[in-house]
Amino acid sequence: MINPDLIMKEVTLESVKDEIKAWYDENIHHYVTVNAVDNGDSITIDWIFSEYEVKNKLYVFRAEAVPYDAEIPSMVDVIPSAWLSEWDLADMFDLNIENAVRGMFLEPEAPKAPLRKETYNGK
Amino acid sequence: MGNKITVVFGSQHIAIPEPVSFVFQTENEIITDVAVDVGYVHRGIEQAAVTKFKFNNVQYLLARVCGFCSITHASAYIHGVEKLLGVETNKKIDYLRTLVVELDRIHSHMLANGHVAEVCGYENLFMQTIKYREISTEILEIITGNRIQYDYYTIGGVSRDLTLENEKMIRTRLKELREHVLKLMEFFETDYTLGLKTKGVGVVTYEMAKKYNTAGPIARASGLKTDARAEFDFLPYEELGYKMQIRTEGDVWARNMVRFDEVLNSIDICLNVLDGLGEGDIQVKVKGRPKGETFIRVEAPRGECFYYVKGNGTKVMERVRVRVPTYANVPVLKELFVGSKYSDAQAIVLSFDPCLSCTAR
Repeated sequence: MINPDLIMKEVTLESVKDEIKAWYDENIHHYVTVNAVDNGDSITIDWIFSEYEVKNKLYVFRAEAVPYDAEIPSMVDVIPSAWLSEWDLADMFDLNIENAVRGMFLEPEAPKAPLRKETYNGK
Repeated sequence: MGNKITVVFGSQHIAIPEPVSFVFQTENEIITDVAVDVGYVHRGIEQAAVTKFKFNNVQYLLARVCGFCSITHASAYIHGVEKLLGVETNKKIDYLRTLVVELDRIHSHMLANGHVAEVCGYENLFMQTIKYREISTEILEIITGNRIQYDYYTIGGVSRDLTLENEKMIRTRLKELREHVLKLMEFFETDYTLGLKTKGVGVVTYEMAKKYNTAGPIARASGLKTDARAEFDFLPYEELGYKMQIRTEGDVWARNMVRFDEVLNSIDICLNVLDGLGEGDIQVKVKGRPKGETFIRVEAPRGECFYYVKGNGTKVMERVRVRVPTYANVPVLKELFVGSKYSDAQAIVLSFDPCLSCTAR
């Protein structure tokens, strides 16, 4: 890990929404985005936050080894602006994110899940 | 019973330079609901970054995410790769990078404010703003070789040094630009009719800005103190005279004025760069291949740009994630429309300075 002021918390899909809901304070924390990384056989998902007026501080809630077909909770109830980044990941990794609308970034005839390794490695 | 009309705004619209679609439901010309689509120009750049390019060429691809803030994308990626490689740059490199990043901010802000003037019916003001913006693009051409889309950042350095002659010319031109910006600001501040089109229109309150996690000039025009230049160490802003620019009105006018305030501060930063530039190499040695992961925040003209960069020790990156500032600002824009007059929609959209090329990537 290269970011010295990064605070990483391991979470599960079952607990992440409650944990973020209990921790998140809109007066202090700034939701940056939700990110995904394909591990080849599963996905790692990060919910990333910064802190207003505090230098270099980043908080990452990380769910490791998430199966491709897992039901991923939406954070829109807690963070109303989270929908766009969730829709993005749902399109790009073909993930089953709660209430995510498909097709904003990919046309219906476009290849599915362009950011999965199995797609771009041709497997 | 009101007069209900569905109005389709975009994806091709005379007021907006890039493809974005808003479908407004209106009642007596007041917007009651809106559907938004920002994904018309998806180009698969994140996939190309991990499949088609070696890690030391990816910055040239990422610079093509957007013509206006190309330096932002290259810088975010390169700061990430340099962290993974343990590269330490010297003062001269940091200063030259800051100079180009701030000039980029100047020309982007001038264009945004010009566009708002245009949709408010002030075509001549638009022309004047664009004319003065030319000063910043001319300076960028002299420094980097290109007016926009400059590949100035390299891993471990920058691509060109400044000559003494160019330094002198840049100082003169920046001081000239400051005078023009002050005149433009006076007009934006005092013109009665422009005030009717911009003051009290499209107000993002401080509470909305926080609730919807807005970024950049949109947040700062609503009093929300957030700026990656103050919150993340990527260039030496503190020593170069960076000051966060805050307004509290939250309307179209305040967003314009924050941009002008930032242009003035960027000019000061550029002049301080030239004063303190000194001697030094413009490229340090770089060895190895990136391995590990890092999270990078930089301040694009439109707000915070976030990058996640992961390398696996090979020539090709494992993951490059781009979260652009318009991502942070579209949700509040969508909420803001509801209750606004349809006739204000153009000014509201342009005051957000949305970048769809960045958003869809």
